[in-house]
Amino acid sequence: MKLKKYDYVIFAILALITIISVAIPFVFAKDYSKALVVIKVNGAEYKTIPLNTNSSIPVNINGNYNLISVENGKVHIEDANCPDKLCVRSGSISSPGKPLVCLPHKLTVEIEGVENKTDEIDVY
Amino acid sequence: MKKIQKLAFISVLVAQALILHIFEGMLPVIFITPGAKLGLSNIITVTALYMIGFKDTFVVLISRILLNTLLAPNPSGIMYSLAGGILSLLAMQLTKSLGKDNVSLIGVSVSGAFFHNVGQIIASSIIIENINIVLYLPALTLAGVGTGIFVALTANYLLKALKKLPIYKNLVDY
Repeated sequence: MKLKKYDYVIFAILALITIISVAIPFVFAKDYSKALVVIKVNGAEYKTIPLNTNSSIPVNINGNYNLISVENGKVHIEDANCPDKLCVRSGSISSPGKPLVCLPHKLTVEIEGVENKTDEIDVY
Repeated sequence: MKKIQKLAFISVLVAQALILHIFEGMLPVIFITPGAKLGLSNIITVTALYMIGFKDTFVVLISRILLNTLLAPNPSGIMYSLAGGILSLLAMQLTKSLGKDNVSLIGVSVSGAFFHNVGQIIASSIIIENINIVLYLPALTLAGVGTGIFVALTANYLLKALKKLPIYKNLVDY
């Protein structure tokens, strides 16, 4: 099967989209004085803890169970009773950006940074 | 093709798509990123698009998704499948309409795979109310290009084989 001219156009567009979306977080990267781990269920905040603590947080809502573990500045989902277990296999996150997701339980775990400067302005 | 023949053919395609879906579920999964899938059922969608046209392919797609939902352990997945499937089919129809001389099966299938991911990500970010899931798109796009090419190569063999059969000869627009 031979590739034709618009095939290359499609590949080029997809490559461009991928490169741009990978680059954006680097361009807008900021320094954070501290980072928070935000656990959301159904879009509503369930619990927020600082990233620099070592702890395990069990989330159990109507039998939907996820065990979230915060360790050495990294967060991962240790265990879950969802059917696909994709959240457990997603690995860990350590900076703001891509959230950990458990679609069947509508749960997300995100890291949110608290910015240095805006923090001080708020104080004064 | 008579109406009854078409109906039978659509049913066969739906059945094949279901079997491929079940078969895919039995394969050991190479984990790339959450949501990345081989998408074997898409072989049938692509093949159907080149044989019975957009409208009837839409029927095949919707029947397949509804029946898959009955077989699936988690019926809430239907929202993701519908969003991904419909967006993917629309994208493939648009790409295909660029003309046979301009775009090959690979281009059609890869754009279908990409928009399947886009549809599923839109559905997920609405359902769990978190737009940051969009950040999974780059990894899914890379996976989609790979699976899209695989689907295109497979559909290519299937269409070539079907073209040799006298009853399907006039049907295959490839």
